[in-house]
Amino acid sequence: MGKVIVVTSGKGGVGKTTATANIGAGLASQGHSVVLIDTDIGLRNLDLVLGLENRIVFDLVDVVEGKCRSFRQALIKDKRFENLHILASAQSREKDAVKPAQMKKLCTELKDAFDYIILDCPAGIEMGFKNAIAGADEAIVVTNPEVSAVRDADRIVGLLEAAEIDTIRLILNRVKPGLIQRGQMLSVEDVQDILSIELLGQVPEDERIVHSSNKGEPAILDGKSRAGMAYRNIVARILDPAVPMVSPQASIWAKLRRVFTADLGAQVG
Amino acid sequence: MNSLLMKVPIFYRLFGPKEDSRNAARERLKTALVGDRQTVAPQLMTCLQKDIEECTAKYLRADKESAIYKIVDKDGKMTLKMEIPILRINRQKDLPEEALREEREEESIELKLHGTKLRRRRKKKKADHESQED
Repeated sequence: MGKVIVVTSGKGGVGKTTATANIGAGLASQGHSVVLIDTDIGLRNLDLVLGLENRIVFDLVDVVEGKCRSFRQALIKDKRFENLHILASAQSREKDAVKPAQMKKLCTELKDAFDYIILDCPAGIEMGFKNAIAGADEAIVVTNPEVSAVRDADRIVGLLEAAEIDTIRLILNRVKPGLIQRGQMLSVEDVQDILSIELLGQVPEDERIVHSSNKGEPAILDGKSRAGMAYRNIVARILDPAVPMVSPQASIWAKLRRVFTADLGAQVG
Repeated sequence: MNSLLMKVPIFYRLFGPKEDSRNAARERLKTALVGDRQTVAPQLMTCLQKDIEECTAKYLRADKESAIYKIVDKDGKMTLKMEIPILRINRQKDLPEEALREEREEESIELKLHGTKLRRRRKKKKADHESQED
């Protein structure tokens, strides 16, 4: 019996799709069978991030409407991991083309066939969100250490709790340790204190993420990527909650700068 | 020195004034969320107020019209603020029995003893009075 996890955030652009792609690839690389579903109807993206955009024949709406024989016909197999599949969203349809009951039914069917079903939720709290959480057992809330993203995440946590999804875990994305040290960014502790949900992991801001999505390859495969390293830790923690969390460290330059400013402070004082 | 700071970004970052916005972000967020969390349940305050009114009615008559119920931010903590003007406390017969019970067992014994002494004294007085009359 598989597990359905929805990746959601409220605010757009915080890294939901990247998180979904990397967690999916990570779980598949550990030998688990995984389906990723892009539930953002009209704004298809997950396929592009994973480099599978040219292989879509059927999409989510086709499956729900019964236009293909079974969901298997619509699943796209990943090139790198044979255990990883994606179900693309419909690009030319409206948000209300799918109903929560239909999503729930699809999730139930997929649970019998796969270990993990990961849903990439659209931004917002409307129909797309309701569809994505309808069949979910657990939720991962992605947010950034910024006031607007945290506020939206709080709203999402409230809605998830109201929908009786009990396991809600947080990924803090785009963390800049240097900025936090200088007191110019909310820290992991601040965000956790405000949202009061369990922290699954923290991902540092990393320019190589852009590089990875440019190529259509998950960052988790990039040995040089600090974000990829963070996602490997997150995957390990999904599989075994006892695995300790890795915190992003400030770069050497940030540390050096701190030494300088501290010296200056000492002189002035 | 100042112009040098402004012209060369690295110097500004190294030696410029230290700005802290993290605490501002934290405090502002907490305050904003107080309001947000209330709107999630639009009837929360109405229901809470009704329950509190029912509860206080057992003990006192409140001035419902001028009562204030509010969730406010106090030192970064959500706080329920109530101000209920009291018209009068209920009469004994309208109060719950528990509220009338003496607080400490010993005290009531003392009172009882005191009462007996008094009664005895009164009895004695009465007896003396009667004997005098005889």
